[in-house]
Amino acid sequence: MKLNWAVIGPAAAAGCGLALAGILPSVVETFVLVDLTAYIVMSILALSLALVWGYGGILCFGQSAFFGLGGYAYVIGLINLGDSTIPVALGIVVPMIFAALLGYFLFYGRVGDIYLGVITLSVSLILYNLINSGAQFKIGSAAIGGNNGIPGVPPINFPGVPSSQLSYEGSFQLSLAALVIIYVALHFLLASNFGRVVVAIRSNELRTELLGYDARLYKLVTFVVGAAIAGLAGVLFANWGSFIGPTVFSIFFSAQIIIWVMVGGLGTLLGAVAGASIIQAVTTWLGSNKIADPNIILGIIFIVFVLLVPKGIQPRLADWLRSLSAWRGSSGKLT
Amino acid sequence: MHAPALSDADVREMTNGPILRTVGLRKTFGGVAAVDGVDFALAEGELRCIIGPNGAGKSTFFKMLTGQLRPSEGRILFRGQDISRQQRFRISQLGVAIKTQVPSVYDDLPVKENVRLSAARKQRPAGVRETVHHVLTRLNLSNHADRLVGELAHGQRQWVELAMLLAADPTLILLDEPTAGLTRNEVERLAQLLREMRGKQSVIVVEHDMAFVQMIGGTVTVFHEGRILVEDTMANIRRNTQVRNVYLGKR
Amino acid sequence: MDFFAVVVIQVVYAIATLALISIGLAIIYGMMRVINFAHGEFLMLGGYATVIPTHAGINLWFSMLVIAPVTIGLFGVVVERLIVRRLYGRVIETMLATWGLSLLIIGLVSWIIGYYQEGAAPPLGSILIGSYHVSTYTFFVILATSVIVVGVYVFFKFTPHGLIAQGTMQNDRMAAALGVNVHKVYAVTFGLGAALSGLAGAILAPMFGVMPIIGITYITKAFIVVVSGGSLVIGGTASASVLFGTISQIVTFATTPIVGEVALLVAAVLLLRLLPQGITGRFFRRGL
Repeated sequence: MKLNWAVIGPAAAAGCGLALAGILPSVVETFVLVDLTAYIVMSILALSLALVWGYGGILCFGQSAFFGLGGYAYVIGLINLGDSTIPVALGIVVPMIFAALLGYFLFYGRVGDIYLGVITLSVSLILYNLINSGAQFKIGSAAIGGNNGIPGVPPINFPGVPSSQLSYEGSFQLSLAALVIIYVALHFLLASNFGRVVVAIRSNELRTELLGYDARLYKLVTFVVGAAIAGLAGVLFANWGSFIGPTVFSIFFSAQIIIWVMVGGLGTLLGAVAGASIIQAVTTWLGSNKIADPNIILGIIFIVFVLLVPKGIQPRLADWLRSLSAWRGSSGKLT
Repeated sequence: MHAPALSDADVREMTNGPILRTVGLRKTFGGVAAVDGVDFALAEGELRCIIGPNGAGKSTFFKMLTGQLRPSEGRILFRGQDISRQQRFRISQLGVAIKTQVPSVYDDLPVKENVRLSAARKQRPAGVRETVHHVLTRLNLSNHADRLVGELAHGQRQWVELAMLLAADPTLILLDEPTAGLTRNEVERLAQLLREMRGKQSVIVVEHDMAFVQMIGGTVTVFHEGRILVEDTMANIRRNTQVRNVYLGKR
Repeated sequence: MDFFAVVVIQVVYAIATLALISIGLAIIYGMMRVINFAHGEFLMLGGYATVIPTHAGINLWFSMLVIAPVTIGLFGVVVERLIVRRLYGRVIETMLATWGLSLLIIGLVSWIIGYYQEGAAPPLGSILIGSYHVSTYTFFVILATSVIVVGVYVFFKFTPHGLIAQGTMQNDRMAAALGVNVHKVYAVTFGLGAALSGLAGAILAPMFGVMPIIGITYITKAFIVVVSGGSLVIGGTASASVLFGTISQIVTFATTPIVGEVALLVAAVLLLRLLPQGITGRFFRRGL
């Protein structure tokens, strides 16, 4: 019997995730859960770029922009409205609108990869400057806070009941559930007709258009979906830290997201999660031990992976697994 | 008073009209005209060959037909509709399919998926499965269905591209040097395939292989320096000294 | 009347600054189709290469106009040989690898030199235009930029090295067949671009200060100028600088510098929608 890894792998991962969500809170200390929540949130962000870049071939260097916009939209909404339900939606919708506008100009203008990377990075950096300089600027009753960010963000509450707020355990479970759901949803999306056309566009855009598909539209939709997921990660991030600040737009953070997906393997989903977790762990360890500036290690990892391991970690494993089964997915080249 | 009697040809022209027509088509790059005023017409169901020396403008012509290049001047009419400035995916949707000079396929996807993507644009999943199976069988690709196209030999990649074209069930098929890299046998199979298409689909083939052009018959259009030099049967063209000179470089 | 003069000076200064920070990147991009994400760090290092010797007693102008470009130029050659050379033709990989290099350099400078570095005050004092004080250094920047741009043009158009470089960029196989050492040409061109970037960072150090992350403030604008400018080195840089410098400076006058930056980005995005290959990309295939 031929094992269909394409189904077993993701199902197992999802199952593990949900099991952990249920079991862990009663087994480990709360502070461990809080640490894990950070990894989970970053994994969701990594998945968003895995979709856009890994599968879609869209060179977005500013995925952090959507993450940050989601976080800020959520926090500003929450401060103004008091109940978190609508702000969560805002945290997803505002980045989507932004992505739709930006994406329209980029994809319908058919700009090349270089311009795409440069423009998307510039967007994130300019948002950084914008927030940093707007300390006193207010949206409703929320001051943007400039460099200091916006602290004291209350937790997500049960829809309609502002007093019923999530505990640390609850935030952990919610974030992990979100990760599992997004992971499974992306899996279905990529296996659908839409997803396969997206991959085809990455493989050979000309041929895909010659078959009658409007590549610009497919890329735009992919870009917007990626922004939505990144926005949600931003919401969960603000919830996790009770805080949102402009560093989410910094070039260092933008670089990290790219490194996560690259290390984990372009063209994979679990790889992005693994990459995010590994790199996060490394930078946290470096930060706490003060051995060297973390950027030195990140820079070296970045360079080494581009020069020597362009496919990242997971594809190596996937190549091996592929020899055991039928076609499992695209081989994830960088270009 | 009686109207003059109409011939079969007249009736066909009036009721069907050419499926493809270009009027004064021109494409310039910098100061050079790659296509320099082409008035071309293709009847529905016709199988036409375009020949001509390198640089005569054949591929540029194809690229304009498929929307990959925008004409500098002139019009392209497909089924009476002006497609000169349409997006390339729109033109494909209207029923134009092209096998490009350098095979444009999905190297990192399996053969099956290549063909499926083509069929899936118009059909529902059940129909898609059937189309893919049918096309792969017809072109002898069933054994390779799960192999990555990038791993196939050049000739086989050409067949994959042809399979993709057939799966889309197009109205107008453009083939840019389809025999490149094919073996003797494969060339004959291709000729047979084209003969089967005649009447059902309209086909234009750009070729350098004169024996192949002879094999499939039909009218031949000779391109030279961006213009149509002559249009005739292969037999007459073979005898045409002007064509011979053009190929040998004389003026 | 004075106010108008001052406005014009500020606009020209903005244009000059844009051209100055972009020219090195434009050479590397225009000639080698390489987008160097470590460009900002070349500028940053140029600033350090000016300020550190100056504080050690060496003349400011010497540090700025000699030490900075030479050291950063040599550094550029090293970068080309170790990293860029391995990735020729692979545009995306080059962007990523040089981004990694950018992080590495910032990390090293932060770690070795520290986050704070004493800068150098703009020399030359100021002059009075009507009732406005204008730093004389502003004029120096404008002058220096003009000299550099003209110099680059002259170099590529009229010197043997420059012509060989142009030929190599257009057709490296032909150049190699004619006996040109193509690798050396690439290394020297990259080094030249780096040197000019170092020089730019050096010249602007008195105005913007020196710190490990100062490169980041430069790259957005430099990238936008270069990709919007299109494939011509001089023509693209000049036209994009004029366009964006004017727009962003005028918006800055009306609002704040940040909004001026936003205006620059918006203008670039709109421009790319209309001219996806940049200002000069469509019209001029050859030339500078």
